[in-house]
Amino acid sequence: MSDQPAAVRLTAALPAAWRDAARLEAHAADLPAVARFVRDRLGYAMLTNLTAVDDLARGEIEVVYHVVSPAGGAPLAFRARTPRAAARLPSLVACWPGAELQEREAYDLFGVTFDGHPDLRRIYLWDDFVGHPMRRDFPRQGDKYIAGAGEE
Amino acid sequence: MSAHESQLLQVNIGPQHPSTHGVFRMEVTLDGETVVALRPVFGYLHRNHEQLAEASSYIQTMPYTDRLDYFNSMTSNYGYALAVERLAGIEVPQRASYIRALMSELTRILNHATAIGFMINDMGAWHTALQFGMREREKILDLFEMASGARMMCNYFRFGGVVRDLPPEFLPYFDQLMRGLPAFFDEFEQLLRDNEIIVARSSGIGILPRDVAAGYSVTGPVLRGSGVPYDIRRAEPYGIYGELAFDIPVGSVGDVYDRTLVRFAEMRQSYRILQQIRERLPDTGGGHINPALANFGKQKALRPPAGEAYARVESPKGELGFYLVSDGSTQPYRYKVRAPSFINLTPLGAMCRGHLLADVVVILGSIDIVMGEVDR
Amino acid sequence: MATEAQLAAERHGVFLTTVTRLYNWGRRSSVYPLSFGLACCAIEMMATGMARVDLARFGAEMFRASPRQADLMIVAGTVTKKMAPQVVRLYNQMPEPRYVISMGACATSGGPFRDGYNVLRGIDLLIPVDVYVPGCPPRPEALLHGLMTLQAQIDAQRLDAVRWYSDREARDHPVPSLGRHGLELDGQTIDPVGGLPLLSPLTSPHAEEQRSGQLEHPQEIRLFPIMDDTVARETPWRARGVAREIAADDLKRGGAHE
Ligand code: SF4
Repeated sequence: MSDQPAAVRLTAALPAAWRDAARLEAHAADLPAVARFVRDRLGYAMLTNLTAVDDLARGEIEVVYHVVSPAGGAPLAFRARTPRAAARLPSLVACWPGAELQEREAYDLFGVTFDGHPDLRRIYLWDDFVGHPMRRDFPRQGDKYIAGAGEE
Repeated sequence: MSAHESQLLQVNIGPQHPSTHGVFRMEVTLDGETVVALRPVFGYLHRNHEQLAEASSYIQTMPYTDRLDYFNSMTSNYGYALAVERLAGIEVPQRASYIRALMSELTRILNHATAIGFMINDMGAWHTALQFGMREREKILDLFEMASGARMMCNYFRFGGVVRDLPPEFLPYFDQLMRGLPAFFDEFEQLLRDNEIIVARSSGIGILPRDVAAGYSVTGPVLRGSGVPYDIRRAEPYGIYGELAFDIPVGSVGDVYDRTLVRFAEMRQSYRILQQIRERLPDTGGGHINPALANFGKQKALRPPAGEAYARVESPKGELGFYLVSDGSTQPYRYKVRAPSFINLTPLGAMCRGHLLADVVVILGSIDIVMGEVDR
Repeated sequence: MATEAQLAAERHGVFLTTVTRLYNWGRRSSVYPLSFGLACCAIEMMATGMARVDLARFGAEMFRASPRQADLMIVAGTVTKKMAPQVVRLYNQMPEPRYVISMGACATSGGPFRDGYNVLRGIDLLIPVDVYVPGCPPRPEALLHGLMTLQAQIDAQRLDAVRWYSDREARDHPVPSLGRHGLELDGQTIDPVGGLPLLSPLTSPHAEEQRSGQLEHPQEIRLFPIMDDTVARETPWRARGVAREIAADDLKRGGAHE
């Protein structure tokens, strides 16, 4: 879905930052640098969407960032991966304040810790709760999951 | 702070409060009557929309999207249908796109009319102003009911089109509604837009300056009220929006009043769009749904190829995005909603700081949130 | 059942009735609902109060923001586990006599979100409900009907039998707390997040707010005709309750039209 020329410029400018340049998958440590380049040099001033995806098969959690430019055009997506057991990524709140609530959401539901987030607390569930319900191995019980096909 | 050291006061607003638009909660720290800090608390309506969608087939999620933003089931349907169509590469016939845009613009009028009413309710006018918006809403809901069979939870969109064509009684009633709308706008604006009390209560309140607005990821009337002419219908046109003429109203200061003005102006722009659609609708071709998917069993058995897609529409509240990851099965591997009213709340604390407690509910009202979407 | 003497008295402007009837007439004609919206259903609840259906015709338009002034709680919307303690607390704060209408599928059973990890499967697990209004959302007319049903229930109450004029003590309903794994009551998990409730629904208030003792058993796979193998093996249109057109559309059944 990514805007081709911008993606090409991004990979060319930061050649060492990528774990998988074709998917724009950055090394976790290089994420802030990528974010700053995307915002300042490519003009994507808005972080519109932040999604955590639990990749159970590979034991990793992928966080996808969709950024857009206020001037218009399709969003650009870049991503980073972190192991499920110790999910940890640098926070992008310093770069885009709009990431604040979305990072809290990913922390609450998927258990990804964002280093440098100003106020990383649970957002939907209460503070005492243990577990991250959107992870795919969280216990599920209910008619839908019992009768449902394709699950597990 | 004055020479006297005053003590800070903690006030809890919500989750059961008449002005929180549902079950939203704010922890406000006050110095006298002035807000020092505000912390929103979410989750009182967190009903696991995303997880349920990941356990459902693609079409089964369509009625759940109705319940995201329960004022605007049509635009929520649109965003989701668009995402799945992108993922599976489904064509939409021209007539279906027109019907979709028609429904989206009707719902925008409905939403803005009630949103303004609710905000004025928060200012202390109780439901008087809301009555006007709700009156118009009932008329539009009649149209939705004719087309889809339900008032609020329309579940009208299908992948590749809409579930059925407009019934014959739809257009006469629609024309009648359209004839009445300009008078409604005039009346509504005369009563509320230029109302002295409303101007006094809302100008200079809750300013979100233009240069920080985009960084906070706010969208919709909140962003446009701050003066950024960003509208997905123009920035990344979907459906037939590329062919339609409309203006993007923007504010100048970014205060509560600007956001309200943007909503008033957008209702008139939606009316303009509706006129164009009405003109061209009889000549559109292609039927109401892609024939390959007209059978509901085909919708149910849809298996998009493995991959991902992000699609967004301009819902009345802002950018409504759907991010889907498919693993090739009949259920999405990951389903994520980029909810505009949730993300528009990011700068709430910053916008309320320094204002009076009574202004907090007005600022919240001007953001126009709906809890089904905030908490999902 | 007007007697001759009663009719004669009425001709002279003297009306005879029982205290209970007069009292119930007064109460049922001025039900004050708590202005308490949880989710989508609340919008239809508001629409019920607006011009077109006009709840005021039934004396119930005074939505009060404070539970202390209300005597009807319309639970309009999905009750999540995070919200459940507040709902019970609000109910406890309402003065007696108090009534509950469970509006919509969500408040009644969890509705479409029944299988969500954070959704309470029906508010009657925690507080007793007088009237259930089905629908998702119920139309305003349906809520009106619910209100009229409640009025009929109020009419049927007898002053000498209701609890709040007897010497039986009023009890607060226990307020659950949010624990490490879900809702807790006295340190015991009663409704785990991602699990099933360990609590039976409350019976109606007329039965003294007892628990039914019947646990829900969602662990057993319930067979709906449409999922039932034996039905599916038959020719689809013979399955009871399935319209021919729906059956023909159903790929799972196969053979319908191919
Ligand atoms: S019953 Fe339906 S309309 Fe009512 S709150 Fe639940 S989902 Fe919303």
